[in-house]
Amino acid sequence: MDDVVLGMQLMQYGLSGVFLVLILFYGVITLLMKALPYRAEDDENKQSQ
Amino acid sequence: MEQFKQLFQGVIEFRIEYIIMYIVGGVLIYLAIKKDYEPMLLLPIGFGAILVNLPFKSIWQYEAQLDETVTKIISDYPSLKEFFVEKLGYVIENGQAYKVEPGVLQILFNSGILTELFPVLIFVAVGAMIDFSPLLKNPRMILFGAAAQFGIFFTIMVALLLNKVFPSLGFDLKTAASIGIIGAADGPTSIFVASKFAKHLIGPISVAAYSYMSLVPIIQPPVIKALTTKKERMIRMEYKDVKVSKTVLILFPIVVTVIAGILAPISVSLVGLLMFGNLIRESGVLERLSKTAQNELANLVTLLLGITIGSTMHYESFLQPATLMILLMGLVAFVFDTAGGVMLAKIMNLFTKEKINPMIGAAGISAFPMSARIVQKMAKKEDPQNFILMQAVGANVAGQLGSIVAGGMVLALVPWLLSL
Repeated sequence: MDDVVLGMQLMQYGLSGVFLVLILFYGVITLLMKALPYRAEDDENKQSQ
Repeated sequence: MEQFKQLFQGVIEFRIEYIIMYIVGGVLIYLAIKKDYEPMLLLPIGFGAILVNLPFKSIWQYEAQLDETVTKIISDYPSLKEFFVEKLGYVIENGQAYKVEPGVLQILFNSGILTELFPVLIFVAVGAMIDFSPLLKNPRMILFGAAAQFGIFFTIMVALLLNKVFPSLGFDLKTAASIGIIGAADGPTSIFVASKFAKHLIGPISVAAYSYMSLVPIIQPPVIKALTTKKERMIRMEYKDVKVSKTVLILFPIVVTVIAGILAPISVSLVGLLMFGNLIRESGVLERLSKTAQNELANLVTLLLGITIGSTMHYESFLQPATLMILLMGLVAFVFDTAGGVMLAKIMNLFTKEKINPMIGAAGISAFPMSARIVQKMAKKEDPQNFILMQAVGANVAGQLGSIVAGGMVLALVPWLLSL
């Protein structure tokens, strides 16, 4: 297959792939932040140790 | 007379191309010292370039020695010639086999660059330096980390189209991918991909990557101004300071590694070592290792990496039209990375109530923290009361993630596409 055609496919799949993976990470971050919210008690416990 | 000539072999062997390379090396050293452009890399690269362009490049390899045993073997078994040349580094001339012993920089190159050891060790150090909390507090910024990788793929296309017009450049898909990855704005990623796909171009690709990273304050502002209006640059963004729990900071690198490793196993060396460094930092119980990674490890590997890359810049491989093209395309990559991020922000503004300052998109490039600072500086210039630094830092950190994901994509997709 012509290299330029391969390059267009690389651009297509590559950019889509980067976006999809980072959107997945966005979901992971949102989930983690919701499931494990910051608690002030954790910081106080650490300081008292 | 012959013996006298032998004494001055270096002078006899000297050529004009060496002087050109001394100037190239000198310029890099000048930029490092006088202009403070990425001195940790540009100075060793510049000096390495000078070292390898001394007569007989003895820093790279020693004088060839005739090996009579191997000469006899290849005359009896000619089919073994390729094995001795390719695998054992012999040179065959007029039926005689000469063993070429590697010099110190070739040993470093073979063990640190060809094995990808140096770039991944740098990733451990970089991971230990990154703080992902600005991104975790504002995860929307991750999209700009993706958009700002547009320049990589655009540059790959430019390289391939240039090759159509000038086939002598030799920019096949693998070479184009190695050039495009300069747009990752991440030295180790560029070196990692180039060492897999275009070893012979590691020198110019690394010089382009590190030079343009240090030139981000000059490259980005005109591109941002060209693509945005004054009104857009004055958009204020509300910042809500959300606290991030320690558990999330610890889990994030682990989860990212597992996901990236499952989706693109070839990227594990990049992502895994970066996140390993980050985990050392965030665990809170490995202060010494974190400090060692950020300081001693980073400094030692950078020192060896720089001079080894410089040693690939022999005039025979560097003074080619392809090198100039690579340097130009590196600029194209950075320009279109910036454009990609800004344009995504403008598109998002068509659909969102809460407007985004489009300059944030430009901060999605991996040049941390320079890009974020540039964006804040430009915002303050338009409106002294506008503070978008934290959002810009979030996008900048996302860019680091985006660049290694893009690197992983290129590594996975290029062999797959070539096999179709």
